[in-house]
Amino acid sequence: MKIFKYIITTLFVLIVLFPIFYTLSASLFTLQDFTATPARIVTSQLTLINYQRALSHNYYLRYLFNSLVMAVLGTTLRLSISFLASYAFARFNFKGKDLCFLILLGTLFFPSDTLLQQNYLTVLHLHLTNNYLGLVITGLLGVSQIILLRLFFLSVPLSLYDTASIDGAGDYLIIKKILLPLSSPLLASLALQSAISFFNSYLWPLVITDKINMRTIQIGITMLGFSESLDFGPLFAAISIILIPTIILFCFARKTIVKALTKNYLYT
Amino acid sequence: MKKILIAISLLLLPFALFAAGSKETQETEPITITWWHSNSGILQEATEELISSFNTTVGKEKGIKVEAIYQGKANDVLVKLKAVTADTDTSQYPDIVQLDASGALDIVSSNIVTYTQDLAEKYNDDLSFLQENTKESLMYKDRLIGMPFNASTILYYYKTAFDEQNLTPPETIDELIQIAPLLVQIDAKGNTTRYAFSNIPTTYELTALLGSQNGVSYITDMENGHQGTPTKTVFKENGTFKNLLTKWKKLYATGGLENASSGITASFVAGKTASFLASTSNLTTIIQSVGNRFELGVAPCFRINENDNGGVNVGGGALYAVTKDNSRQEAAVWEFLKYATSKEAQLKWHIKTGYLPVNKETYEMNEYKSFITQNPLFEVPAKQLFASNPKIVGVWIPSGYQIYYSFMSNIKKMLTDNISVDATVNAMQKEIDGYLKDYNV
Repeated sequence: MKIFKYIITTLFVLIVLFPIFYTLSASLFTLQDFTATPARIVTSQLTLINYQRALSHNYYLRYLFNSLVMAVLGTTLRLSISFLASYAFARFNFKGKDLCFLILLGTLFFPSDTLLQQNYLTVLHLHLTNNYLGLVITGLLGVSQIILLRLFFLSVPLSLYDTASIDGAGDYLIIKKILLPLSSPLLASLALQSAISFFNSYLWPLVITDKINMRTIQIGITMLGFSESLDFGPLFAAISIILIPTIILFCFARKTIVKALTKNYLYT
Repeated sequence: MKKILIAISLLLLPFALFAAGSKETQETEPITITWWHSNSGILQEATEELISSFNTTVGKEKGIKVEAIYQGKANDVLVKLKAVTADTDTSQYPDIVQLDASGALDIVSSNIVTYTQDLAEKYNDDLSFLQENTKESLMYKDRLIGMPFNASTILYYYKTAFDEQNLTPPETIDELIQIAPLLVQIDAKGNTTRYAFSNIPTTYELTALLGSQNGVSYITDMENGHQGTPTKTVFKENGTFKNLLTKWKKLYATGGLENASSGITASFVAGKTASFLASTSNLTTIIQSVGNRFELGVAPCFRINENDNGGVNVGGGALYAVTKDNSRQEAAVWEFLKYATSKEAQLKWHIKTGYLPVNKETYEMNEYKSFITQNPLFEVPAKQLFASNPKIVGVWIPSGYQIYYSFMSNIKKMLTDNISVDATVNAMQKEIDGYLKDYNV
């Protein structure tokens, strides 16, 4: 029985790891390796020329930096807003609370593409084009995050809040001493999810920026134009480089994410 | 908590550094015009070279600076153009936008663009320098809507697999049907290791494969959308699709036709297929990718019927002048459009990218002639271009993707499920007429 478990786990690991492995491997391919018959899995000669060519693009590191700023800034702001909003929805009673929540839920049904034009005009009139805040502003309201966090706050036993209140703790202390530590695994996985989605966004950054020094990495990669010339090596090298931040982030957050998943936080 | 506040304020710091500020240009200052494009890789290099040669010569003289901005893939450029022009503030509009045929319908059904014909008339310039086919490809209701810039046609690519057998590239699809069995290679297990030809014809190929029949034929009414928005397809009533599919089925029966719609260039380079159809604009890339693995050959696109003489249509893209109600800006745009299509600029563009020169005079230049003597493959598309009827033009249709998919899925199904030609043509007519009808409601 145990051997079965191992086989299945190994199989899943292979399925997940193969694309990453192949990307890294292909980043070392020569031009001929891509069209060799039978298809190659490892390079025919070890060379870093693809990395050199990807990095030799003047703005590559700038694009990477912009994407990282966008991911960090967007994630921080989105999580702060979600956290406070969900606390309000879970703990406070105010007029129109249910209606507000319903409206929030309703926004989930609008595909973001249909809002593109109007969002662009709004951001244009706010003079936030070619600006980091402009890049993240449409992603700051994370409704699904608010829903998850609200559910989590509701699942915290009422007695815990009451005890804290009796000891004289206000909302600030409750959040700081109780909710933040309790929800940190959940926050970590939400942060990772946000960071990746900001880092990977393409159309919005494209629409909202004109200046080459404000472009993000996903636009930068299409700009390299290697794929049109069947010259996939530098493309894979560029992709390998942008995988690094995600992998580092995951390594750091791994334990908390596993905790969040095993404790069933995400499904409460 | 303090730490968090410090972290947030550090994060906000960059805004102060990148606050947007646009300066108004004074009458005396040099004028800057922006050009939105989707040219990446080699094309982007060629674009930069073109604008730097303009900015240091004509631009310097006349106080014009051109700035090229990459705005993603061709469709992304259109999406962004539509977003920007939804606002009345023209300061955010580009001055020039480069689009392919998929953007033409949006151009003619809006007021975003000033027609190139109007500019030429206003500035008393002659457009007769334009190569006839490239000019006709951008005509709408007999007016030139944009400046032809990166022109291409469809081309037949083949490898020396042909020479081993002393074959010449097929001039008609019947010849291809005859030679296909000779080109196929099958291994001991019965798997095909090399096909004779790979393709599923969709909008791009069909424009030429149907268009060249009966002198000139169209896919839709309104001359493929160049005389107004298409209302229905005409490929059934003119019989061209039936002619093509009847022979396509025969080709499939030889076992030499691979039903593939993507990755064909790579499989050609790897020697898994002996021939395919692709744009002339891929020629530079394919020459580089093939390297010295085998000898590359190119030939005009094959005909469907023995007596077809229409030829092929011009694809690629054009430069459009965005309407801004600023006469100084407009004059500068016109200056650059003339420069970009001058015989010298088009020669450089051709050599670097493989796109066909849109200026007739380029073909007469000594530099051009010596270039094609050294690179004889480039002469084939040029000859094909001049031999084609200019009235064969690309389709300007709404719901482009759905129509493309309708062609592809129906033709594929016809071969794999052995559906009759008539049923396939009827199915495509019904589907595509439906899309056109929905658009016109």
